Amino acid sequence: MTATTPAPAVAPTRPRPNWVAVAVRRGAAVWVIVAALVLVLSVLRGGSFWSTGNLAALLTSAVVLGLVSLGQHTVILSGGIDLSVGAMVTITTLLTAVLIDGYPIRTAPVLIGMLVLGALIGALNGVLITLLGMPPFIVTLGMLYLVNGAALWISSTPAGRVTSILSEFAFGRIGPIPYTFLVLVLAVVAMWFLLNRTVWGKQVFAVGGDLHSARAAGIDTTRVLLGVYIASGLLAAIAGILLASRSSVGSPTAGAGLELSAITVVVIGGTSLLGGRGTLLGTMGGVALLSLITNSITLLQFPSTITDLIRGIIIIAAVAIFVAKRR
Amino acid sequence: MTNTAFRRARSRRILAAAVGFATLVAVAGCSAEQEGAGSGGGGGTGAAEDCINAEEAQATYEESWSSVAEAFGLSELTPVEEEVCEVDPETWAAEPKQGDAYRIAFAAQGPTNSWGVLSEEAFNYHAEELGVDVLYAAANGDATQQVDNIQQLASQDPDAMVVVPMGEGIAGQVQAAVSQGIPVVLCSGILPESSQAVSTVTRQYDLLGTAYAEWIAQELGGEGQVAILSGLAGVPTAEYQKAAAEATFEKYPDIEVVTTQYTEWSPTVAKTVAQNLIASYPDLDAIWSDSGYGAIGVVQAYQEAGLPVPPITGDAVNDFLLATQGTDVRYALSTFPPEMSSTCLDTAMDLLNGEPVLNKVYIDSPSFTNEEGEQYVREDCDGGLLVPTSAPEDLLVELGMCQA
Amino acid sequence: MTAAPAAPTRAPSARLARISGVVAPLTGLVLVLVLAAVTTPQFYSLEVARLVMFQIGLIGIAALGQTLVLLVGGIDLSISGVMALTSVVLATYSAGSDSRLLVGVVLAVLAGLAVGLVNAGLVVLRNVPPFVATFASFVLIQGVIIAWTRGAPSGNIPDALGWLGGGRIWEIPVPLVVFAVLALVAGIALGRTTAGRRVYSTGLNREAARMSGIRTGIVIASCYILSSLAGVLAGLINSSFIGFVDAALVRSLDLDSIAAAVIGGIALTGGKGRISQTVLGVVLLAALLTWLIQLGAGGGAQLVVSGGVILLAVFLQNRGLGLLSPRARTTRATPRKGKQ
Repeated sequence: MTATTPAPAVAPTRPRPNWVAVAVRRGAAVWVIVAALVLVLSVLRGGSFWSTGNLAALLTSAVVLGLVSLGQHTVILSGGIDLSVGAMVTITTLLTAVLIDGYPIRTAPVLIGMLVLGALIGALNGVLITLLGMPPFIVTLGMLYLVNGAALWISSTPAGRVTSILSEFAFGRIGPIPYTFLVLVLAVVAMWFLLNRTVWGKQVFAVGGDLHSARAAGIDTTRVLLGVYIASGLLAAIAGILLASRSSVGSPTAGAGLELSAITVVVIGGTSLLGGRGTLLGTMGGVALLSLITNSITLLQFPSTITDLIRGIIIIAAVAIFVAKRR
Repeated sequence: MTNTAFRRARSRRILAAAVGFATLVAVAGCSAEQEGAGSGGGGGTGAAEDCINAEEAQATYEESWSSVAEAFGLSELTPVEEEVCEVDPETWAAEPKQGDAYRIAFAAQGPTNSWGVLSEEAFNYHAEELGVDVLYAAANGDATQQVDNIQQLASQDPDAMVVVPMGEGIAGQVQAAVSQGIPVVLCSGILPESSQAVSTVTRQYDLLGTAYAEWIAQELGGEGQVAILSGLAGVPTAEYQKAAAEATFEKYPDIEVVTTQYTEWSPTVAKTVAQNLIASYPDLDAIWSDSGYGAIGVVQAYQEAGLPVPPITGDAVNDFLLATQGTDVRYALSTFPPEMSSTCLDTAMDLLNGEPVLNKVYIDSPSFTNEEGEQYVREDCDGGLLVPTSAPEDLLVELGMCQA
Repeated sequence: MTAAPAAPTRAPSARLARISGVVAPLTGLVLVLVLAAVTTPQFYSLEVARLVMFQIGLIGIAALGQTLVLLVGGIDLSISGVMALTSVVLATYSAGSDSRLLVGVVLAVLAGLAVGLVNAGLVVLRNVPPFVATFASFVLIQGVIIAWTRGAPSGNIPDALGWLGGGRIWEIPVPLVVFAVLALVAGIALGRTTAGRRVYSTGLNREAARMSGIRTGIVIASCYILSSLAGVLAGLINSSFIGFVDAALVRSLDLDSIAAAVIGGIALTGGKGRISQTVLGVVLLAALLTWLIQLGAGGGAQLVVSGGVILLAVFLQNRGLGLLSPRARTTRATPRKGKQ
């Protein structure tokens, strides 16, 4: 709730480590639930669940949410929030299809253009937040409206067409592992490296932990935060490109609601919305959990009217149990 | 701030790498031609020579237009160009893949409104009658979700799949399912040819949008101010009908479309929008609306303002008929029946049984104006019911939509 | 957005900052009114004025609840969920019969209370970030409604409630009157009572408030419960406006209520802002939205303008109209507390 400085010397009242709290903080807790769910599904629908096709479907459904959550994770680590990720996915999906429009020669330039666009929107977020000192929540909320509006302006109906090379990539897989999933894996590895093995990564944690101390310690906080929002924009653009490849057309509503799912995922994974603390393992566990819930609802053939209820109960339970406690 | 020289060197390196990569990909990209040009876009593209039983099939299509023209009393209603063919019955005939019963996958909209509920309930009801198993997945109205649903359903290797399309974004995944050997029937919606769906069973959007507009043009004698109230921005169901209406009004030089607004298919939003219309365009002569829910809000707004309700269109919702009962509101309504899903199932079963099937099955369903409105009201049913319904009575009672 | 974070009424510079915080939304309002006069002359008719007043009432009631939650450093994304729940509960129970109206309303209030308690429980007892907690309740409410009504809610809203959404007192729509009364009560309660002071100190610094003997948990919980009750009231107004249950879950009111509070100058970090600012934000937003519809602007343009206005409003408030030195600005702008 409040901005108490997360000073290291806080836990004199807690003599022995609470293993649940530790598991939550390390991001392992949510994987326990994932494992339990996998076990249940294996027992009830073993054959169908472990079939190559279903695994591929499961992994594919995790890609877009995974990429967006990766960006969100980084932003939240830095103490901010990015509500514009869904809108960025929407506009890159739409523009990828509209600009390529079936011309193979346009594929490469458009893809590069989309990455640049994502980075630019992210940079704009970053500039407004750092240089003008506006709250991230408002900046990215405004950006959500602006970018969604722009997408509807470009086309209010699904439009454009991607080239076969993109759709082949989107539908291709090695055994149960889709190519697109490899993109997610690559992105996760790259982000893990950036966050845990580079100076920039340490600075992100420092800025998220305490902006003022970070600045006092000589960190160029503006540059760090700019990088964070650009990364989020880039990842959203990649997600948008993959979504367009899979849909083959661009839709002006493609990414609606993704921002809320992504934030939920990050929080379920044990990352503190106060910033400075969280693990990629946990966030990816959150992505796995959300994808598994949808997958299992279809697999178990629940009556349609109670699927939303089940989803709601699981999310609220996960949120209540696994949210990182304030320390 | 510390070592600018180092940073400049690094950024130069990144730039060089990016340029190099771009050139590489651009060279690999080569062809400047548009892929598959000519085969994209809407209907009418199947190669003419292998169109089986074209004339007979074509007649069924034109019938759905003439029946609306008759109901609305239109002298002229030209069907939009569309080529209907028969699917080669041999292609998809098959025995059940597992056990004795066929397993049909159903990628549904989800129970997000009464249309969605009746659509899937009618499907399940009919499946039970036929003794087939249903594999169900709900998209909750979201195309992105439905892409995942279709992939997952296809991975369960059903004998056939019926899809209620939530948007064009699912076309690629439908194509993937078809190329996997699963016949896909599109239900209550359309996709581009590129989806390669075997058959499309729907009420035609173009037909509804055009017919409503023609009726208004006739009511106004080809002259006046019209407002268009569409459903939800960006959603194909709304946008296609709106486009058809705009194209029709364009033919009448003296009809002016003064504004286009979205009602989100919600009577509450529609009422707010209509109150604005009353203030901005006091001389409005007619309102084109794509939904009965929207029309309800409009009627309420005009009635509360003490003004005569301009001629209005929409789909036939029981609530609208109940609200306009005994008034002199002039309207033309048609239907987009949810229970057409049972026809979709029949089509899928015909494919599997090797019986002749059309590649486009255009549902013909009742249309009527205020003159016949009385006979369609269902006092015994819920206001949200779409009337008239051909869904089985016992199903309606079981769903609590009607009283026994 | 005051220079002295703790006590908004202390220094003379704080008073200046306080005035400047009001200037921005007021300028925006004047701008919209002038633009409307130029582009859509019919904006100044009784009909349109009534429309704006109705919108002010509806958005305003939700925004009052939202403001309370924002003041304690939270946010409520479940207001529109509560509205839908209210409409479904009332319609299903009363089935349009006036004699069952009272019980139906009581049930709707109980349902709203339940949502408020869930939100409060998650936020206070489990320390769940408000943003996520209230979004989770929204998803849950949606699930409950669909499971309970089997996807097709039925029934009508009793006619006896019609005055709430459609009635007028001397040409003024009832929702606006209700909003005005509530805003007055809330303004007095926040500005003049102990309870109000507790809300502010809890929002500014929960630890410090706890140290000074305030039971912050109860303060925060009451704000969420009141917010849900505001949602119930907005739901009653909305459903009596149209007369039967509207299945379309319109999410816009969550964002509208947040936008109104923010445009007015309520800080998302909690503890800063007055009801009068929310009122100003609500009036600006309602006028803007109505003007855009009058203009015949499409969905895309409406979104772009709303986004632009939010950004501009906060930008101007942060600048404090040049009253603060750039240095002070950057140190005070604490993105890390943005939202939790």
